[in-house]
Amino acid sequence: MDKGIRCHFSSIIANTLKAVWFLIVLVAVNLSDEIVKIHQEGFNPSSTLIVIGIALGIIIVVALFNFFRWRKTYIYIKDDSLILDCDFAINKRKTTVKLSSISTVNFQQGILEKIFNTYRLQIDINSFATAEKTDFNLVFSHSVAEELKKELTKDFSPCDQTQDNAEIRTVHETKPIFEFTTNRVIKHGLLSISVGGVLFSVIMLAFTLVSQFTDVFGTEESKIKGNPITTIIAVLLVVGPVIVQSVSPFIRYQNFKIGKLGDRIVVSYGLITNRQYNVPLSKTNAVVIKQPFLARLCHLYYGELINVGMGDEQDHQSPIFCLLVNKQELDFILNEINPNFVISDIGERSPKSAFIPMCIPYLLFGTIAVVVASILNYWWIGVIVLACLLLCAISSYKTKALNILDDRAVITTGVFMRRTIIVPFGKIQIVNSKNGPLSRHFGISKGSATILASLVNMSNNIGYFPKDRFEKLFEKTLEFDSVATLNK
Amino acid sequence: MEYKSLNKKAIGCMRLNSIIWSVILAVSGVTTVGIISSNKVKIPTAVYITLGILAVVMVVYDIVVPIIRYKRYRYCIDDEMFVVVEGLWFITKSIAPIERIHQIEVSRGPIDRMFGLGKVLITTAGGVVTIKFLENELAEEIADKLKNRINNIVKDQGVNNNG
Repeated sequence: MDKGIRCHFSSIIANTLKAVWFLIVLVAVNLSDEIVKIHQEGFNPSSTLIVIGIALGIIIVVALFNFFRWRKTYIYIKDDSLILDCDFAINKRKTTVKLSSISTVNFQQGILEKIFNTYRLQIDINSFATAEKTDFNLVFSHSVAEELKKELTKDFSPCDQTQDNAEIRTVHETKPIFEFTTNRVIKHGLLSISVGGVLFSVIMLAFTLVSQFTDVFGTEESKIKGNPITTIIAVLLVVGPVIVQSVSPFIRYQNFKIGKLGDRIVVSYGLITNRQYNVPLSKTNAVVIKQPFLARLCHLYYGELINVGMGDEQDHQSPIFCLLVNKQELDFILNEINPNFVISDIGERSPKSAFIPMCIPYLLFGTIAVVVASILNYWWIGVIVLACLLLCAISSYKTKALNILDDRAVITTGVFMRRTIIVPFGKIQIVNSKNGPLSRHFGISKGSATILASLVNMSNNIGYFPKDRFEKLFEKTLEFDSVATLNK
Repeated sequence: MEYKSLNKKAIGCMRLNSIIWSVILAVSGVTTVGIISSNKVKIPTAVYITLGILAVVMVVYDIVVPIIRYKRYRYCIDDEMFVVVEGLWFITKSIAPIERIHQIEVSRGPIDRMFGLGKVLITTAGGVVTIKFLENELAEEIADKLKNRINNIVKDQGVNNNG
């Protein structure tokens, strides 16, 4: 593929629509008062025409900019490097990426891509600097996307390659591991809701309604009090995120399938936007098993793969490899993916002596809340906050666990949501241990293990454990070679 | 594993850093009080007493804390790993294998330069560990040693992979 290729022309439309949407949001946020004023005073036909004219003008300029940029941008592979060459006078740039530094190449198909029968090729680089985002988002027709993907992944290590070195096939052609029915997707959506978020929303909703319709908070002079529009907006702002959080998984994770193709895990899902992750296991740094609070009560788990440089731009999370399943199903899936990630035991819990140092930050914030609330004559709010924080401290203490196995560490943290990371020692970059006067007195330390991952998963906190556990963790991290682990 | 302590010049560097922050805090506090009192708001005597106590605490902090931090600060570099131990109330021990190092950088800020000190920033794929308050020659020496060690590791790994 020495001759350069352009992205599919539909990328011009996508980029233009994105810019238009950005403009709409910008106008709505900054000129909301003006819009309300126009709504109240009525439309002026001449000024409306001018506004429409300006808007059309901006859209045409943006579309032309995107067109010329598209026309002058070529993508090609030369000397084992992927080159994105944009010779457009306003935005000249040439990006060169070594093929060996490419971590993953994945497909995504949204509504626009479905209309034009194209695919968005998402290329992630093995880099800490760009771990938070997808490095390249290129739109091509299906055949071009497949061909480019084949070229880009030909330099992956032998264990990354499919055994017959055949064309990368879709999830339907891989060895299926697990499929999730619509009922399971709904169950996942319902049990993944953040209880903290729901509680916060309920409290904020109560506060909003009380302040709108009563004088409990002394808002009788407020201009917004009792105004139905402001009440609806306030309620939507409070309840909206919870509704979105509850509904989005149903759409996002429909048709969730996981399969294996050689040394790759192939995960596909999506109702409106089809996503397909193709994750080489040799470049997987760790596996994260999560239990949101409600799922924890039902003994259900879901998992994420921590892959070098790869992250989901929209969710700011690593690619999910299974929705909520029970322990037997999770073990089955992990066993199929890589038996090394199967865990029989999350390990020892924090010792009893850990409860006191763990409680102190919560007590400190709780006390501040009580003092501040008392000054404002709402001491009872302070007491509720203190009680909630103490509940958090107890839950946090009960959640922490650590298991140092022969070749990997299993670190469990969280407050209400339990998060367990299974990381081979060769993938751990830095280990920290930390102790204060109180923890020194009890002979315990807390700490963290950092790995190459996006910001959310980089630093993995370890609760309070006896000091010798950290010494063992230090020794094990030194014992294992990162390159040997990578090629395992 | 033999830990090394810092040169005593580090105490002066830590103290000057600490004094600068204290001055910034004091100026901010005095300015805030000045602005409030210029708006004809009567400030209670308790506020002045609290500010006075804070000022004394800051002076004591600037005198005593650098000495404690200096005594606690230790580092160790051998063929396999590097370790940094530091802290005041909370003592942190950071450890990383030499083999995981991606980048080494020697950096000298204006205050470091006044004392002839510098720091070595050791970057791994998972973050940075810094050995601070090192004499210039020592910082360069450590950086060179680490670079050589990494080069040897990379060569060995290349031989093993090809072999």
